[in-house]
Amino acid sequence: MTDSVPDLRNLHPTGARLDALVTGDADAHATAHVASCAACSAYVEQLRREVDAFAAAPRPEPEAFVQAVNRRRAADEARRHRGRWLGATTSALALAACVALFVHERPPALPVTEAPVAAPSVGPIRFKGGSQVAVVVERHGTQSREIGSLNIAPGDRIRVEIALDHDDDIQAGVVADDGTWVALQPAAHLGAGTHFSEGAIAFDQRVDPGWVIVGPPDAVARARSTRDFSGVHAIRIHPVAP
Amino acid sequence: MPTDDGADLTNAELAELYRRYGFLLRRRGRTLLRDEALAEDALQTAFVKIIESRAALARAENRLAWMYRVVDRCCFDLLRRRRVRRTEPIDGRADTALAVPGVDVEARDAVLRVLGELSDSEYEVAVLAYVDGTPQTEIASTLGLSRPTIWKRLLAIRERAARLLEVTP
Repeated sequence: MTDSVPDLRNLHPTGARLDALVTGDADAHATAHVASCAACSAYVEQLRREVDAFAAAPRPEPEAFVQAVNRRRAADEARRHRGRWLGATTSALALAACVALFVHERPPALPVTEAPVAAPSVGPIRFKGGSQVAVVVERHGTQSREIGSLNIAPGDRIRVEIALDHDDDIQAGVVADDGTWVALQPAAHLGAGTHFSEGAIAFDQRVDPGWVIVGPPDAVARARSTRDFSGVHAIRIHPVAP
Repeated sequence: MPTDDGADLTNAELAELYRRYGFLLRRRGRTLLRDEALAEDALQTAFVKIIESRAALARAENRLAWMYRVVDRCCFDLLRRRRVRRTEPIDGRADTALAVPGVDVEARDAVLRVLGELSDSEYEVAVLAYVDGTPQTEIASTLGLSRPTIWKRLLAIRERAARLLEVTP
């Protein structure tokens, strides 16, 4: 790092004012400065090229983004209304009830040890279209958002965040190495946008190693029964001491 | 463009804002968060706030600058929630974000790496100074603080960044 504290007398317009020129917003002073400043002129031209490249690339329509924002707003309002989110306001009783709703199932008869194992994807998965998955871990009232393997201690709670840039059928849950399945998100058709799983999992005194898996229902079913993780996002759960 | 009538923004107005400013706002989020998915998250959160801010948006002298501040705040919330310092470039690529003229690229990148470690007040000053290249007098005016205070905060940010990066180069 350099020793200098940023400019005391920066004679260039601020970034926000230069950037605004690319959007077509009028700023006579910034426009006049750019016309006579090579550095600012180069900056604006480069930015304009970035904007043009973005405009030319295939991407979701603005209307799809607005729908995602409206869904998020509705979800935020519903969450505030219900007064429950995985955060600090959630009572232990409510969490217990939440966890109790999950159906614990055994997977089909195929022994885990004999199941073919495909390497899970590394890092955030990109479903068709480039969406991503992260796990929100709450420990002692503090939340972190993880996209790699998870170190889970007794008492931790997890929830899945699924960001889609297209509509898709999605299911999520945790499959332990012994085959136990706990649902986080029942199979549902989700629209473009960021979604949190309907359920959360609170780990009790014993944490078993396993995987958080997220993907289309058929791929999730395949992953549960055969440990073929090729069609899903799989995040490894490592038990750790509290 | 939205008018100051107190109502929420309509879907058509939001779509127009996104069409016109979406790229730059997402780019801002990427710069601060160094993560595509988080940047998208921050952008959606910012637009949820913008929906209800018709009056403030209409009054803003520079709409983009005003929306940058909203995105900055959402990014800060995400960074604090994660409590994780991002040290790796996006998607394994080297940092190539275009630097605003007048901003020292090396200093900016160092500060960006430790944004999540800064306090609320430091973060605000850091983004204005190192990302936007805002002069200290203007930062002081924007935040309603004295210039010596801004100077002290910038020194503190620089020292903090240097200290943190010594531990994790």
